[in-house]
Amino acid sequence: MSGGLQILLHARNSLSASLRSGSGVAFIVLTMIVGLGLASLVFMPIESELITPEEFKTNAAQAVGYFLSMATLQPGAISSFEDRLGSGDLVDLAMWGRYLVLDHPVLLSLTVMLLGLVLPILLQLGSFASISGDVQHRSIRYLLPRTTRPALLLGRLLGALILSWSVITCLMSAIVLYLGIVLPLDGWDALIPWGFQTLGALVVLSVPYVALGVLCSTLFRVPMVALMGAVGFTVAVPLIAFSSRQAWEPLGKILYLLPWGYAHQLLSPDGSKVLQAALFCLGHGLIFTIIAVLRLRRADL
Amino acid sequence: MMDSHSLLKIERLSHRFGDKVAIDGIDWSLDQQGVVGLVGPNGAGKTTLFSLIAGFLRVQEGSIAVLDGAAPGSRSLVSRVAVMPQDAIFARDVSIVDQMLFLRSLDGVTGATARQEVVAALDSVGLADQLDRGAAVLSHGMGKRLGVAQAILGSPELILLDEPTAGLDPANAMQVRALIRNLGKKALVIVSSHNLLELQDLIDEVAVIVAGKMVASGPIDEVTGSARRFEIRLGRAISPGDLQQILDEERVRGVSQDGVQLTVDLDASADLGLDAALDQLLHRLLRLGVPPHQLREGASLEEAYLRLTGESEESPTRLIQAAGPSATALDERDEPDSLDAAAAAESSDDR
Repeated sequence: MSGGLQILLHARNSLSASLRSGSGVAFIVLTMIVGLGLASLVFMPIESELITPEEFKTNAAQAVGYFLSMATLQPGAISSFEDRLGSGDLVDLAMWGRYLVLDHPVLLSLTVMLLGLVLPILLQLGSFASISGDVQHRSIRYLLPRTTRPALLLGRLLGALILSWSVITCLMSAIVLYLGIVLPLDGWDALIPWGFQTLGALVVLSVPYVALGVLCSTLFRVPMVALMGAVGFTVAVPLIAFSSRQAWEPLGKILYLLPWGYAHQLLSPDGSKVLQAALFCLGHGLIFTIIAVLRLRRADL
Repeated sequence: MMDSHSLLKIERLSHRFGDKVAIDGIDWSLDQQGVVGLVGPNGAGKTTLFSLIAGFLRVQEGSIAVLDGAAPGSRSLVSRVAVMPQDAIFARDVSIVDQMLFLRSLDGVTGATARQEVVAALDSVGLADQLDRGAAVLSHGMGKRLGVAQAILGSPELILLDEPTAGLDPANAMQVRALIRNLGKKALVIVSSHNLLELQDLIDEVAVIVAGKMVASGPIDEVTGSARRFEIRLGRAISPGDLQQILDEERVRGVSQDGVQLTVDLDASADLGLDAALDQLLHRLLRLGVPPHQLREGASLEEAYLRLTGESEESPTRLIQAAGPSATALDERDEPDSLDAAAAAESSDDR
């Protein structure tokens, strides 16, 4: 049997197992609850009429501007407000903020930006047991005589990706439907294209984080340790980057160990930057996958 | 270079776990189909050796060539080597038929053909009525049988079975043994087991591994040195003097007694072999006035095993002289539990 077909079989089996396993169900439920919870937080001020849509957009523009100015702060580059203003950098950011808040449905933009912060952690729940679960229970020993290790790993990765993409799609569909039906702030003609674009951004963003979860799953034999490793790394990278940057500016580049340093570009008004960020995400995912394959090929199982 | 005609060829194989040497310079070659036993004490390295042959563990030192000379885990061996691991478990929440169908699909067989094969494999281990149950509800014995069933799916050329009958009830153990015998006609089957009585009746060759070293390997008669063990039930216990007389017989290698149960090791290598040895033993018993009430063949392999592994320190004479300890040793080694009894019964049926 060809390797490609085996990968598809492993992916299907992994997907099916995820829907029956505790960790898979926990991933689906938690992602939906957290995602809808974040959306609810974003919608609440308008929904409960605490603020008018216009006031909301003004405040949102400030919040988005602050977020973008923080996210685009390059280590080792110009960093003071005056310097950035002088360089025209902040003008670009203002354009970007307008793109997210005024040109497109603001509630959807804000929700997706928040999802971009929490999904990297939640996605680990869907991938941490891809390999380690079978290694811990030795059930991988039933599979290895019938498959190759790379095919097993790539199949499990594909299964975890499909599961993640499915959950993200369900989440985004629910949010867009709610916005279109219950909070008709923006019309369907604005919601649907932006919904697809932001869904694409989240789907691409999920690739490196799912690959990271699978990598940790090959590095650690115990699933919970794999989960702790993946979540710990995901959280620690930005924390260490921001804190160590204070001591020595170049250390801020640690941020680029994960897509934290460029993920925001996936929502950029500049198509070339979106493409570049997407390629970086896929590249990151590819690197993690290659390391995982090499690790699994050499592992004693 | 490896001999491409060998089904399995191991050269200077060593493996360590940290400081512990698990496998220590093993050479082993198997050229023919059949059933081969791998025996040794706990921690001797049997499962490690299985894991190395199956490709679960990476070879650290030495070499292993499987089937056409391929290294373990090679792409060319996919679906040609089957393994029943000792301690692996199946997914708890998936029906066993689905798990088996998935394994078969990896071999490239799907649909009605796959289902037919899966049902046949499960039927051969007595699990045909459990198709739709999840592995979570299977008992230990059922799990073992499921492990055997997955190993016989398809047409593997090398089958590694680690303790396949451990924990099975006598009827199922017998069924699995019959299955293994049939598999041995078309594949090389290596069976690891502590049940030496069972193995003796099942295998063509045996390898004994002790502390990571292979201390003996070859056809079972060669390894046992043509020794044959018999269990004899007497009408009454006999005296140490009578035991000594039995031991003095030319073809008796050793004898021990536990109540009315006598265990005798005979030398079947001389002229007329076993017949002459039995004739001599039975005549001696009749002359002593203790006609046997029941006689059955016991585990000759066990005697060889204990000798090779150094686990038996008693000489045949000491077995007689130290009646208490010998009885204890006999209890520990060879108490005819239900599984052994079934094996013995099956053995006599076969003959």
